[in-house]
Amino acid sequence: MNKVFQHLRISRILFPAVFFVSVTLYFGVFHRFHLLYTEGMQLFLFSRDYFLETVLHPGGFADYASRFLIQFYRAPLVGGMIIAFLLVLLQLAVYKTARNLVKGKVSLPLTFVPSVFYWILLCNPNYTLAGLLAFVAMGWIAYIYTCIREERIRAVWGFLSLPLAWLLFGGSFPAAFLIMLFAELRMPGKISRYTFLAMAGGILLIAGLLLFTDLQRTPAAVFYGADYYRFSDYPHGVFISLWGSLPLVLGLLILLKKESRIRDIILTILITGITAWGLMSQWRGDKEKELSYLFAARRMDWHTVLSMSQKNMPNSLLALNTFNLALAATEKAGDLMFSVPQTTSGALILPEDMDMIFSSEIWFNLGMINESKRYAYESMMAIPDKQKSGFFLMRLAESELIAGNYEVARKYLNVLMKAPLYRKWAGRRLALCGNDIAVEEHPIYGPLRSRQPKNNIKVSATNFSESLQNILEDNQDNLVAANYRLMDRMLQKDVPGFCDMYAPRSLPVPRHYQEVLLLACHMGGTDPATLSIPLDQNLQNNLDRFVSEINISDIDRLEELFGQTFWYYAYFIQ
Amino acid sequence: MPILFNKYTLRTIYSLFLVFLLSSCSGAEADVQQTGYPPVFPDYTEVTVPSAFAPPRFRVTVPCEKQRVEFLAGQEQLVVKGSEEIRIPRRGWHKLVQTGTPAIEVRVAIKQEGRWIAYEPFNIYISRIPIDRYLTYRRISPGYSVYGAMGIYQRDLYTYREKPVIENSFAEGSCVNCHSYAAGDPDNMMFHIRGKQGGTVIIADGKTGFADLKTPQTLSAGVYPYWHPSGDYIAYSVNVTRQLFHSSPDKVLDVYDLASDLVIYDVKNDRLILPPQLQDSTIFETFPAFSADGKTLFFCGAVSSGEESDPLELRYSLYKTTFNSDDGSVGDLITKVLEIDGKSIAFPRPSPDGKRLMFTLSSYGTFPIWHPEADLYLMDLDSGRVRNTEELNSADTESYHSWSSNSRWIAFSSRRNDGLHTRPYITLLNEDGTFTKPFLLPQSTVSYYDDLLQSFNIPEFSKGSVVFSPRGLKKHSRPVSY
Repeated sequence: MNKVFQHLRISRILFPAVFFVSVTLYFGVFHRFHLLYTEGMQLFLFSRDYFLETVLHPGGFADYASRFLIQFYRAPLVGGMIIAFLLVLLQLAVYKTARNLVKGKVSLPLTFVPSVFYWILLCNPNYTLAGLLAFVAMGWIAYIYTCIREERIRAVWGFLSLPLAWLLFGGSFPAAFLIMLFAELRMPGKISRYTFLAMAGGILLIAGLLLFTDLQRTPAAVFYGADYYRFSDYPHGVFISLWGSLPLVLGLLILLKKESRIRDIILTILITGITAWGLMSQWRGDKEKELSYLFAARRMDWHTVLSMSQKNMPNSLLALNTFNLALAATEKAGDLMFSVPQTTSGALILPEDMDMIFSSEIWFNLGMINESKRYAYESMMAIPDKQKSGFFLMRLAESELIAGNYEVARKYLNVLMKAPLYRKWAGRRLALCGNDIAVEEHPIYGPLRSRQPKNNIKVSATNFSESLQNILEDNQDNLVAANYRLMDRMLQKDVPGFCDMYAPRSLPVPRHYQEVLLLACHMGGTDPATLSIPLDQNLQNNLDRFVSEINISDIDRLEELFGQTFWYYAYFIQ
Repeated sequence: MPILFNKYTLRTIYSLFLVFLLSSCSGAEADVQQTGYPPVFPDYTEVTVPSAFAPPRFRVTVPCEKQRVEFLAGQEQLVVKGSEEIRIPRRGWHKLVQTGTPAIEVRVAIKQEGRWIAYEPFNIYISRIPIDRYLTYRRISPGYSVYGAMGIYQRDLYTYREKPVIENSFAEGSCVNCHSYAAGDPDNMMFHIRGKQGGTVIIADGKTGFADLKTPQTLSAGVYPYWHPSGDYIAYSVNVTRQLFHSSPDKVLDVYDLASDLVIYDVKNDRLILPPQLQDSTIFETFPAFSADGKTLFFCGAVSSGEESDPLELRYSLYKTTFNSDDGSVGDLITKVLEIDGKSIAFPRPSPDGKRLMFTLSSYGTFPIWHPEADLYLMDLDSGRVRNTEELNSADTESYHSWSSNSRWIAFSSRRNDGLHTRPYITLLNEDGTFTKPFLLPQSTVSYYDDLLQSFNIPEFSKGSVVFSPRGLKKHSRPVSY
């Protein structure tokens, strides 16, 4: 008996502990860039105006508290721990509520079901922390109800807590209401009318408040109040299921009140299996990888971008764009460009209507600060819940600093100074405001300032080739643009065009550039030895081999032998 | 004994005590006398504000540990202290104003490194000329083509209270714009909604209507509006508009028209009138404005060079024609009123008393808010004399402007603070035709402007509060004939 008791105690600590660690690792390690992205798409400010603006509507407190917590996603492990903590709090609320209602043993694994449900939901970044916070609060509000033995006090709690729950946490109050109803039916003694009437009164009060609150929002938005979902088309079915899961689980716990270790083991395996299946089906590994490229590019950490690409191929056009940006920024296109599969369209930059976030980095590094600023601004305006974004405000502040618009830069930076985790970054940039020399001597902003166009030139992502030409005509010292132009000619398979513009800046000539030059000689029937640029004899031999293999080998063999050459790209990639 | 309890004696003793207290505070605390006015934001030094107005709260912009400000008007004194802002209490401010003095003297002292530094006192002048109680504007981020949260708001100038007329949160992805009043009357006003549930909301005689002003014959739905003073007509421009994004660091963007015309909407009969004189494809007609007596229609026009028109070369002049309010017809003769060589005119706004016309002048184009060189100009409608209102203009953009109903106060948009975020400024027209120093619309906290990343568009005075609800808008639909 003592062993069983001991076992139960260990389970009550061990299960939540294992759950906590699993959630922390899942989000903090395997989803860390999603957390960074989520944090970047908001900006929590320690200011009175921000507090009032956020809190003064139904559900506002949930929004405020969740945004406060999301700040800490900047350290993804901490972010993972925050999510884990809330999910464990939810499980604890279910467990403790069940203890009050079940006249027997509570099956511990089942108490994890709502938490697992929300864990899986949170894999989709459109479901927000505010929703989880609200759900946890409802669990504890309902738990308090179940603790109150005195009928009149229970009635008062039921009447007051529901409208208060809606005002503070938004539309999750049905979850608390359903448990309260359920609990009331389980209360010992006669069923009390007063408590039901009190709860009904609370619901009516909410209905009354709903009619007079915030006519500027859609009825659904007013009901939900807080931003449980990033977009306005709320998946009502999901939330109803979520709220319904609480009384359902409690009902099951009551049914399964008889202690059974084997049953609990089976339930544990079943729930763990469902969790694993749910997490794997929601796993956004591709997006995670793409975001890792984005954040590396934002830091201008080209080494990380290049080594990521060498370990695993860029998994999307956006990742490829970032890889090519790294090549242009580091002058490594000639060495590494075809070490990953390239495409004939969209390899360098995507059209505006397909992407603005990654492309903003490309324009920024090209020195097209206006364009980069526009992309960042438009991206911020497109954030579904209309928040300011730390990620984009930083870019806007930098852009204005580089352009010499110090008053606007100062404004953005002063806003960022009110966000504790951005303060240091903003403070350093504030010191640059008004100081042209300091900006020009800055290792990043100085070169970018000099890359800005001197005249009003036409640039667009749709006509990127023409844009690069215009940029170079305006400023031939723009090395990033020059590198891009060479890459563009190779991607367009424009061998003569490449040869016209190529002038080696150092020797030996990078491999892919030699491949182009050798191909030009081959096509023109010129002896490479007659060129003023020394070319590697081994590469010449390789080209000869390629030419002979084209006619005799199959595509797989050719890819195996020459897949990482310009020649293969030029002949076989459409 | 009676002498001791004489009210005048008591008042004298009290005043002496106050003077002693304040002077002992200021005398002892003012270790340094600084020449010049204190650097404050917003700059309310030597401005003229209406008597019925929210107090002009400000802060000293130099770093300091404490700020202490005395406001003196006649026998009344008010001392306000703060570490970050000077939050003048409304009741205290109104007591000062009620003394009837023409100016409130403001004495600012700050504490820096343990020393009190007193600045030269300045005045805030109080004008008894009434101002319309409300100012309506749109708040929107100064962005490009994607818009985030925005709304049309009405601010009670007597308090700090702002209430939304409409916000775009009521319909996802919508844009709200171009609010306009008939002579400041909230029972006759309109605004557009673009996107989902798009149309034009027209409140006529207090009743809400919702109309689609797009017709097969017109270039677009109605864009820039102007009410006839009778409230029976609204003149609109119809425009095909494009944006041009600049790459050079000294510009951001331009908005230009590929084509534009003018139409007249008959409010009473839900009828759109398309005067052929104002549908000329060789001229870009835009920015209509009725004269105070309603007999003249002013507008801006630029000669089109066809499809080859370079938007950076288009320059608009001011035109006028006659308007017959009996049938909504427009005169055949169109007269060029004003052309300024190498410049472009926008937003002609006649004063309600018919004496003057204010407009915005920029180097080219039809969207001066993105032009730092854009300034306000004033034309005397009797003499035709035009002057640059230098006392209003800054080194940055001044753009949209509107008159109060008594033609004495002007609200206008300016980007003088940072060159990007448009803020509303107010000024008074003096008897001699000059303007007082413009001041920024006061807010409950000064920090409001610090964190606000939105601009104030189209500041328009109105005499009363708009009554409008976006719920159930569709049921107010009114078919439009043309």
